[in-house]
Amino acid sequence: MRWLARSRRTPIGLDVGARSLKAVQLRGAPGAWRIEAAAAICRTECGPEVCSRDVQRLCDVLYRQGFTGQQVVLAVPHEKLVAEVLELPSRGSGAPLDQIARMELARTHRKDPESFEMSLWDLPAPARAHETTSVMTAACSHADADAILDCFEGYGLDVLALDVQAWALARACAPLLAGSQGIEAIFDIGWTAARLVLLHDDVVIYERTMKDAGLQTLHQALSGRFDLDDDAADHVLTRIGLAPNTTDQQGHPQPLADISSVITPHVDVLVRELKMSLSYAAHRYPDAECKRLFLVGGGSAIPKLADYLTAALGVPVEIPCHADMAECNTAVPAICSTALLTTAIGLAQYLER
Amino acid sequence: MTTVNLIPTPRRDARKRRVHTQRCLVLCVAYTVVLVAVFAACRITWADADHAVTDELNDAAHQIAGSNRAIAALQSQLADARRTLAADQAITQQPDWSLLLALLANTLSDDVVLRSCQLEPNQDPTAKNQRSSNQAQHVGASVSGRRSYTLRVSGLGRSQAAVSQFVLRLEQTELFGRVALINTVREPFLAGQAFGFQLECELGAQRSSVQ
Repeated sequence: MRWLARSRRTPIGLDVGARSLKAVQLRGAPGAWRIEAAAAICRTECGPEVCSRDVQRLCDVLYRQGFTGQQVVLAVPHEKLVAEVLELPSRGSGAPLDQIARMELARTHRKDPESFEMSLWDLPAPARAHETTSVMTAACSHADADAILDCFEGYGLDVLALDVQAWALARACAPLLAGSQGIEAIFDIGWTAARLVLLHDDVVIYERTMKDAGLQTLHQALSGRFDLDDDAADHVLTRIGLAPNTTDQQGHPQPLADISSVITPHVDVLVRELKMSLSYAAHRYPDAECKRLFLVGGGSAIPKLADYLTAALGVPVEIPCHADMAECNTAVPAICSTALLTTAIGLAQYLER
Repeated sequence: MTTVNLIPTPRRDARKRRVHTQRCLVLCVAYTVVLVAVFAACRITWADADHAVTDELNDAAHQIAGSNRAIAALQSQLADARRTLAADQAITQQPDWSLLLALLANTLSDDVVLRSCQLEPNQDPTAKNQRSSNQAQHVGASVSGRRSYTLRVSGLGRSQAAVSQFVLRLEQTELFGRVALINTVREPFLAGQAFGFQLECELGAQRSSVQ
């Protein structure tokens, strides 16, 4: 049976970004994954809501790119996800924690308790342990979930699960986190937003979405400042980024410095938000310090951003590549040197229980 | 790691039912295929058995036909054997008349000679079916209880007394049921006179007194 599981392909992990759709299909088992097929497809219209044209185009591309099967695993878009940390009675008390958490969420967000789907998991006990159980909940309303599912199932795709992006990132980075004792951070910079996920003892203890902190804001700033089109702005971001300022022989700054001056304020905002989040984690788990921060997503392609964040946060920032997460098929070598598909890889590792 | 699935429960239940239905369908199809395969195998196997039984029946029919032919041939042989047996029995049931002639010769004396002996079967054999003489059983055991005969003897005696003595000796043989002297007449014989006589002796009839 183990051989059968290793030889079988996983569902297609589908990361629906605001600018592109990323798809990955793996083969193997936990600890021995192999990327069999990968694709990144630009969306026809940028925006949080995926449209039917994108899905139709995706279905065509999946077949051509060597994907097999119709099962896909999606992540709930961050604007549709409700994630909260709740303090509930101790699990040993026998109290129905699921129902209590559901009622608490319904009360907080003023919704019908039966109108959303919820999942919760226990958080590691903090240093100052209380007689309560800390749980993290993730919820999505049925209406939002139905809209997403109808869109994909209408084109023959079989949606196996609506996962949480934080757990997908945790699964994808699991080979890099092996043996870690402290808190590990994963920072995913997307097109419209950036997302910070903190892990402790392989459990997601914190998730924060920073809206308007994605690359789109940076793109707009660069385009406005230098009158660049999208491709040129992409090129500036991925080729120049935060490269050191250069000066001519007379000491005059070169145009590169102007580019950095546009990017740096944006990154400084991110640094400030990251520090706040890390301080929260340090407050909650004072005996566990943040050991590393993994920079993934489209923002990881900005040169010298990792160095800048390392210096600003005082935490080592690494940019993992897909080859660190799974063995790469020779058919997709180019994409394996980036961290663009991290969420999709984690979604593809979803194991149905 | 924790697994999160935020697909609405009703949809998940519907999907489970759909998957379950598909699996049931696959199982049913597989079961049907297996059933058809088993049926086909049984059919093939049983068809072979039918052929074997048919072959055995044909063999048995051939054997029966051969046996019938053999029986027909044997029946003709049996008929021949029966005919032979009947002939043998017919032959073996005939009296040994030579013994009768020898007996007649022994009862003769020097003064009696026989002219003729004629043996004829009687018209009503059942009326003369009883016999008690042991000597008659010796001579005519094969004819006793079946048929009776009349022995007509004619001859010449030197005297009337010699003829009577001859009659008495015939009776004393206890072979004949009845010895009747039909007539005696004087006849010239050689240079002298003799008494010609005729006797009727019933052979196989109940013994009666001498007349």
